[in-house]
Amino acid sequence: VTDYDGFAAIDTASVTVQGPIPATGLGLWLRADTGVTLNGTAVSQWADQSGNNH
Amino acid sequence: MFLVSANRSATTPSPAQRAALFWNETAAWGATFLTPAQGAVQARFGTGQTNTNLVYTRPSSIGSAYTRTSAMHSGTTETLCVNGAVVQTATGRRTTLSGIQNTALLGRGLSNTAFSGDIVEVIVYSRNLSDAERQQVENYLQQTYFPSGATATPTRTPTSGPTATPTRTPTSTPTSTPTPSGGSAFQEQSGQVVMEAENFADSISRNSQSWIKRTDVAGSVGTGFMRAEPDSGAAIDDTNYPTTRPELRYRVQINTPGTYYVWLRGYATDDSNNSVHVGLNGQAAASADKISTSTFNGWAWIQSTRDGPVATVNISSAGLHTISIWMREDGFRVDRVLLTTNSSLTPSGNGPAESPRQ
Repeated sequence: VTDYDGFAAIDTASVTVQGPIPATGLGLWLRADTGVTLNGTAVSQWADQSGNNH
Repeated sequence: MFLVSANRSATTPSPAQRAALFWNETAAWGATFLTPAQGAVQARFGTGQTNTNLVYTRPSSIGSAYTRTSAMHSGTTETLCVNGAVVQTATGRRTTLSGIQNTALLGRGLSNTAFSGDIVEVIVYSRNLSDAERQQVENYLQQTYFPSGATATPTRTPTSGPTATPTRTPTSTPTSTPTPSGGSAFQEQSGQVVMEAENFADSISRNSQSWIKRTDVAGSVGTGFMRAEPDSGAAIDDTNYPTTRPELRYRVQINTPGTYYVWLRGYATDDSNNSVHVGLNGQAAASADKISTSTFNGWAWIQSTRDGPVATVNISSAGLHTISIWMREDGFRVDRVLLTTNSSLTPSGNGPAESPRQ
């Protein structure tokens, strides 16, 4: 996920990862409890957990 | 596409506006979106076919509660679900998606109109899911966010949410004090838990410095390591660092309370970037601060502190806890974190395998 004027830029892709949901064809996975980057108390980045590194 | 979200506005927008997830179109009727508003859940898959909005009017009692919404396109059939239940099915749709931009917007819809609410989880697939697979995702989201009911307030603290006012930085306010929660906590087993530094739960920037994932030093384990940047020689703060220095947080499920020896697999180049602080549950720990290495230009397992004793944290209760790493000297690199109740364990090389997460 790329911060872009408050937007998140997302490309679709397919990867295989392990996890509680099907991995095949998983293009984007943003989770509340993982990969959140804060600047102070504000969210500045939300890292994709699909393995695509958006 | 699956969402867990809440909408704070009682106004039901036009279908493509104020979407939570939105791909604009490159050709007519290509826009693809999911808009979980209070009054209606609306979605579309762009195919070029006209008048293909999926619209489900839902009771106003939903208010600003969190709900799960999903939309699927499978062959000629499209399905809209709310809280796992199919609320609308459409047939006769064109099979191939087309006229859709490659880049999506999160928290925005047509004409940059903002989604008025909070988004706590987003899952997108680029293929059809079987019914069993769809149910697997729904079950995961329900168990994660709604263990006590379909529209309960999520038990996790929502940590993100594009807001009604467009800003470069989403302005929702996660709690600044770590609240151990479920989800992807590392599991302690037999008195040991091992974490890749880049698999943090939260990374918090402070005073214009951050932990940045890097891969430019060979020999790290996993997909990279974390480095405190910029390496500008910022002054050391051994007192107020929990609130002044960038922080990485890791959630751990502890089943064996006790004293844990703290090991870091770190990398320093000289005395100016060879130390870091570790703490527990958002608090400084005098027994684990000022962890320092005298090994330079190579990855090393370190546990010494500048105070003398090896680093430890006392985890007095079973359950979820948060381990924090705060920058002490910028430029320090951390690759892995190991906690062990075994005082005689000395990791070497890459160290043990990373612990499972749940």
